[in-house]
Amino acid sequence: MTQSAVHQLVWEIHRRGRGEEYRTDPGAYLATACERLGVADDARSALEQLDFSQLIDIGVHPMSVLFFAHANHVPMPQYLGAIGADPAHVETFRQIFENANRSRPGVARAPTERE
Amino acid sequence: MSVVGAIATVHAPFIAGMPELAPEPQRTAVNAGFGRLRAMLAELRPDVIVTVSSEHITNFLSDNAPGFAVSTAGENPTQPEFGLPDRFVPGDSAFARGLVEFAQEQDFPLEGRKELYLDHGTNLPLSFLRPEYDIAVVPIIVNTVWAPFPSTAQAHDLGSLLACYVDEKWHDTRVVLIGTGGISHWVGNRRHGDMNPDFDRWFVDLLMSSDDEALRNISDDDIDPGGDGAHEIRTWIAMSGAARIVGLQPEIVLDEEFVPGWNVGVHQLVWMLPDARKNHAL
Repeated sequence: MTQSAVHQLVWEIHRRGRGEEYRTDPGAYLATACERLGVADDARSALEQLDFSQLIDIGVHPMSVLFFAHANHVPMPQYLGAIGADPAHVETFRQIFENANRSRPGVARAPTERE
Repeated sequence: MSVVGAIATVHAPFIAGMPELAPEPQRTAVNAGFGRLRAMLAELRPDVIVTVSSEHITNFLSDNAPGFAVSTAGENPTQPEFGLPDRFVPGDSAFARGLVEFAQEQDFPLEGRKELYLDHGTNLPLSFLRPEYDIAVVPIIVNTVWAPFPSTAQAHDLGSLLACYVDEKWHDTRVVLIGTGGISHWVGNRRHGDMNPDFDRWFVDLLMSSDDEALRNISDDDIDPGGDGAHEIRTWIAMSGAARIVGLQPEIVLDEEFVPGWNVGVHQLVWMLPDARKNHAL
């Protein structure tokens, strides 16, 4: 297993998440992708459990892990808490996103030119 | 005319994705800053815009990360994110392919890519500065994520290379450069959302003094107090490198030290010819 294999997998999941193709049953997708890319068991376990702190510890870039969290619909404060950010900092982001969500209830994504 | 102007601006995604987080006075100030840049860009009447932005793990994987890459595509897709326009942005294949060849002739490590995804780094400034998307955009991405990064001297050389290329090969083409990147910020790690206003001030002052030797000698250790995201200053340094060749002079358009909610400093600079500056009240 190489670091880049984990990066590639996280990146693929991130891109799928952005493209809204990645929705359910991450385990089934991960199983085949991990096998194809030769991802080791510990990294696969971290991916399946969304263990962001461990992914960073094994050398996956924090920005990549952040995107991976977003692709899996993990709120920013939860992500920051999981990687050991200062609790005051986590609370700041919780308030930021809480306020943002409160001021934008039910905003739907507008159709794009591609659509 | 060749390179007729250069712009540098932050591209913090909250500016587009969550504008309501910023206090009204500062949101208005930032919108006004973008408005001034938009007007300036229109007056410069560019035939081609060259953007220099930073990598956000959108285009480069860790096992293949060039220092610099340019798209040679006739159009490039945007990354649908932060409420930004989701579209294809026209490019200029002849200009970009020629740039890759010119870089090779100069022994400069610029990789040509068949396509680049334009994430908020490129698309956020474009959406403010040219929302019509009717000018060809040649996008360049600088690796500021996967260490080792290109040196600040190389980033400065990128700007020089662009200015020389345009002057030598596209002399009748009006080109504007847009460098986009955050100054101090941390991304994805324990200090995510933090910033360092002192670092921002130090860097903007260096640009304003046109101290190119100092800019070229900024080390990774010098940048680290500004956070992992601060490595994006290479995109601004490239603008200074181009300005030095062409004789453009810097001017501050916006200098918001700290915008709560967006958790960033919002700085914007332009480089223009002395005669052009007289016609602008920035």
